[in-house]
Amino acid sequence: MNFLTLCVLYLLTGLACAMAIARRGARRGDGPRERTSRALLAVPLWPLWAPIALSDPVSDEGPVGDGSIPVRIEEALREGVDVADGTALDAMLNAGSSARITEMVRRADARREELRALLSRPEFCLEAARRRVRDAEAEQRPRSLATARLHLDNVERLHAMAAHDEALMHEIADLAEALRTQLLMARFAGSSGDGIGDIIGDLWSRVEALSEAMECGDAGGPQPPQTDAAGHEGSVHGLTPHPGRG
Amino acid sequence: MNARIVSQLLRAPEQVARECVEERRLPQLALVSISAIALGGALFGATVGGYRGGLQVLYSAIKVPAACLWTLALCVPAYYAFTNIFGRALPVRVVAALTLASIARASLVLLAAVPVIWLMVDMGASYHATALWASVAYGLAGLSALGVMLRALGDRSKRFVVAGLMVSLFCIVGGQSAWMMRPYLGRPSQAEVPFLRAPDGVFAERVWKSGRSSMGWFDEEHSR
Repeated sequence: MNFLTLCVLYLLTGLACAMAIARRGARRGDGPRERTSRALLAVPLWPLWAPIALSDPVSDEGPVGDGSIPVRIEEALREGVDVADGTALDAMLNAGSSARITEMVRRADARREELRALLSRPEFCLEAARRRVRDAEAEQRPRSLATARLHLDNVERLHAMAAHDEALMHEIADLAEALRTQLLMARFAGSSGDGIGDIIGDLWSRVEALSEAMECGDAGGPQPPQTDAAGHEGSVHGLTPHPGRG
Repeated sequence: MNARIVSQLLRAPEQVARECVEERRLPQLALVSISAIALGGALFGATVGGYRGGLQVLYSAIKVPAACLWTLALCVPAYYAFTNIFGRALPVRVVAALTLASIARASLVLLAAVPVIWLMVDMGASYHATALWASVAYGLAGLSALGVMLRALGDRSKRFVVAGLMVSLFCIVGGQSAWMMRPYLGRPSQAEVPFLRAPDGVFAERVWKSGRSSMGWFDEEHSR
């Protein structure tokens, strides 16, 4: 096999990869320009580009599984409800409470996406805001320094808010999955449901924290503790922590 | 080109490595990396080609990034094997993204070296001095690329083995690719500027012969 034959084979493989990438782009709803450029790139560079372009579309949207956190939570809760249905465990987790958690998680996820898009803009870059403060300090411009510090403070808060939401969502997903496992153990292995109440309690406390964060965001500032119809503090949109929490 | 990713490539190699391993934004990272390699390589090539001037500027601007990307395309399957056999189990898309990100970082270092090389050429540096300093720039760029790759290979003791194998393979494949695509500098005395020189042996063989010649050992056919 000579060099020319190798080159032809290389380009043919590249063309096959390009077609696969173009088809995948069409399925994903990419625009024609983006689809064509991504496909053409694969012709000369298929060993580098094709494995990435042909990988799971989830990886296009952010961290693996990150975009699917609400899905993880929904699936875990749905299975948990199915397991608990018609048993004594039904009092701890049922379709109503599951739906309320899911609704809250969806809202939080929408907000998280919005924040993420906002923070990816150059004007909200943390490093740039810090540099602006440093420059203003070095040039000894008091007015600019005050503005730069205010901007930095706000950018830092937004980043902290995003990190907080992110962490809460992960915790809720982990707890929902742990709850499902515990319910399965209780049902099939006949273990006691002692741990289930604790997990549900933790789950509700995270959902409340998420709700509080969203309430603050919606109102544009911190809010006093929410009170439900019965006058209990800490309830969320009519959600009452399950009595299993203790 | 996404300025945030470019900035991360230069200033936060650890974060880039982590994002690759966690498979975050791989397509975006890969596209920015390919653009950085194309741009950095093209400007560095054009500057080196500026020693001869004329068409050599254009030819070198095409050949430097082409040789680099061609080398990567050939090396990535082997890199995947190295990392999975001797180091960390990573999918091929992660290895491809890591390789691209590493070389993109190197290309950005080459881009940073452009003013220095340009100044040297402008000040009338000799052919050999220009070639030597271009090689120094390549060496520094290579070290910066290792910064990303080593972090992604984890803390395991074998990461240096994997990195050693990767560097060795890159030197062999990259050396041969670059050798096939020379000249890059070009001599001002040449009347015409060829896009490629006529095939002239294998890179490794040339290095071996040059090494022996530099130590005063000449092969029989040369000494005759």
